[in-house]
Amino acid sequence: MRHSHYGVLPVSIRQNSNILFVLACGFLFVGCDAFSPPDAVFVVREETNQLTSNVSNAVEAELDNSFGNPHQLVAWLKLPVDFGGVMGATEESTLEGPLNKFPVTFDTEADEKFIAQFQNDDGDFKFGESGARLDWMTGEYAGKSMQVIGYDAETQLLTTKEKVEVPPAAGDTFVLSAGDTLKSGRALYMEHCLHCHGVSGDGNGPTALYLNPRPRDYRLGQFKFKSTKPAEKVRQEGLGRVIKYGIPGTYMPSFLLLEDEELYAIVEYVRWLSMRGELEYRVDQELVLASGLTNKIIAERKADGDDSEEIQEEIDEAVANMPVLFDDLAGQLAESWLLAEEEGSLIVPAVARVEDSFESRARGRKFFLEKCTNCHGHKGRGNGSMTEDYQKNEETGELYAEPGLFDIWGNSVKPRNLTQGVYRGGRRPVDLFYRLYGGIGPSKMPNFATTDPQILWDTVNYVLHVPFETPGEYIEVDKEYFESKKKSGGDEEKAADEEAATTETKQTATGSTESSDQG
Amino acid sequence: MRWFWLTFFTVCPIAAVVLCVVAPGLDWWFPGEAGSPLGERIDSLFYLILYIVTGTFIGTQIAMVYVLWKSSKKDDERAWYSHGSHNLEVIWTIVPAGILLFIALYQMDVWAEFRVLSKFPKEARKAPVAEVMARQFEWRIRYPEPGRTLQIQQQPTDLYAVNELIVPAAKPVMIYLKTQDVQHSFFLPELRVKQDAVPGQIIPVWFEATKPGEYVLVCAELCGWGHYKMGARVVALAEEQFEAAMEKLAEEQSDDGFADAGESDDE
Repeated sequence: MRHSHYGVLPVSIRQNSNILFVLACGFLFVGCDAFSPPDAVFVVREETNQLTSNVSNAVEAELDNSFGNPHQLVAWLKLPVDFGGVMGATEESTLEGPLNKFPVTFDTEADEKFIAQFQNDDGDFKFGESGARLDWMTGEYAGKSMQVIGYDAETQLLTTKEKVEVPPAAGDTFVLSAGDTLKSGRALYMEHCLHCHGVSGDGNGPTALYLNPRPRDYRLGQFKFKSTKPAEKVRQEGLGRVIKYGIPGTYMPSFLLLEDEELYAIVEYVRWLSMRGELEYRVDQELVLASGLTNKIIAERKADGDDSEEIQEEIDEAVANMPVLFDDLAGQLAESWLLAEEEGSLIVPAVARVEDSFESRARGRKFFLEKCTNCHGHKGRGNGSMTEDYQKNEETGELYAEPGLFDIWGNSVKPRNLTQGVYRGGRRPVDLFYRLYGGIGPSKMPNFATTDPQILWDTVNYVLHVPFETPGEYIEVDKEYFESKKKSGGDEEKAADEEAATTETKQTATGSTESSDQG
Repeated sequence: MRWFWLTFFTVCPIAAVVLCVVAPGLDWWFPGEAGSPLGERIDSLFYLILYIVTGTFIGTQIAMVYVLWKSSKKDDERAWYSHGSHNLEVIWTIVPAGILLFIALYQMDVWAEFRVLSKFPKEARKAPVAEVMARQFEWRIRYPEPGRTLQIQQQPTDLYAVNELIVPAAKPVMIYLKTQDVQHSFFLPELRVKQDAVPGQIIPVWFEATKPGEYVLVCAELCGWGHYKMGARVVALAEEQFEAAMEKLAEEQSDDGFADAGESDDE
């Protein structure tokens, strides 16, 4: 309730944050029966299914209540998503009796939007054949909707189809065409994205099976290529860039030909799906880890002789508490997505790019030898020792069945082969700077946010030059590096071995970073 | 019934002839006027074939109607069976063969100019504007840095773009067409260019957009489930604007996020 701050909504009117708009919309798959595709549904997480039935039903019901289903979306205003629509408020009216006209005002931004959306070239206001939908947010008619059929710019009178006895009070707020953006985002998503990313954004569409790397599962709220600081979410324009320019080296194609509004609608829909998915994930985490309400744990407790009435009480409490849990977690989520849009979350290099020169690249090479070779290998071929090792799964604490690295989605991930000159997150120097400074959290590439930006630029210069390296270009640099390691490390045998040398580097990493900071 | 068939067989050939005559003016078979000089010549080949076919059609129809009309009056004359007539066989083999040979020879220089590297306009051959790499399901484009020539190998100074090929207008330009995965086809309907991209090959393609503007670029070879996604555009710009666009691209490519901090990210 306290989160009445909606950074991306068109007007910041204080309102009851729990108002839900049900965006009913004809959403048809056309096709003959024999070939009609399966019905579009939002799939439920595996973790939700593992919850005891009462609780999982409550989670599903609450999800349905807050987000709806693909045919009927719900715009939950608690989430920082631009659902679309124009917000306005009523003015003091002198008109009386059963009426369908009342004066309204829009703030500047909403006014522009209103005009752009409804005024035609002749200067007339048109609201389509059946009128535009108006949802009341506050006052007498809060929660009700009407159809707007006319507007007079001079008197600022809005005409609705319905006549009402009591005119809306001055200051009552409403939304026109609520959810337009989300709805068009849905249509575009279904056209362009669904077959890989799936209806729910779980990265499990019909074609996903045949793709390597797998399409992104948005439901953890995590994205690999972003321009924000390590802990922050992705920004709108960051997602927009990925959609617009694609991700070379993966199956994500470029959607450059989409109009800006279309792109924006898709971004908002993806963000919304991501919020929906992450909310479910967090709710599950809460119910599994904190409350232990899975079938398995409950069965164990019963077997241990726990009072089944007590357990039932816990379940009932969790079910009754579900709306509050959703509200709390959605609030936290909303804050983190809003934070990402703030100026301070964007990575801005503290210094300009260091000019590309052999000296700069040599410094970058040293940093690379120190920090990057375990994964990317000594020649940047993406074949470092970590790719041969068995890694520990941080969630289960056990080793993965296969050697190599894994991302948070559990997919095998290969450190980039830098000799190919394919940069998934973009090839501008600033893109590579983002990767180094912010890391790639989901695939476990560490961030170097605390490293001297000069050194990061040196490394960017080095990395950009790897595809064009002449054999032995850095032989002197390497020699110098390993010799200095030998001296500072003291263990000659270790230092002679390249592999071992980098392991050692890892241990002395902090100290040497500081020294390079000063240098 | 008699009148029905009579009308039917009268109206159909006449309608066919009328359509042949008006078709060129209606933009039916071509996606608009040809946007390139070679495209115009390719179109004129199509028209030539249209004229030949129309002429043949009219001639055969007239002959048929004449025979029908003439022989309907004579009840007593016996039919003459032409089956096995050596002379007739020779005639209707040689005449179409002659027409086909004529078309084959007539179109040869257009075809050569379109496909044979040594016949490409010299200025296009000298300075390829870009490498177009088709892949499932987009077009990745690599330009040389302004002032340099495109090399087959990637260069550190190269500029990159996707799904938008910028070329100078009103002069012949050449691209290198490649594919990263399967077979694709580089199709510019308005410029009358269609060339398959074949794995492992670098195929030079040239074209000239007469007027500055945006042209559709699509894939014309079913290349996988996302074939329909391979819509892109070719933007032809006047020489100066082209240079400016390349400079702008170079600038974007070297963005270090520092100079215009806070504003650079609104793309």
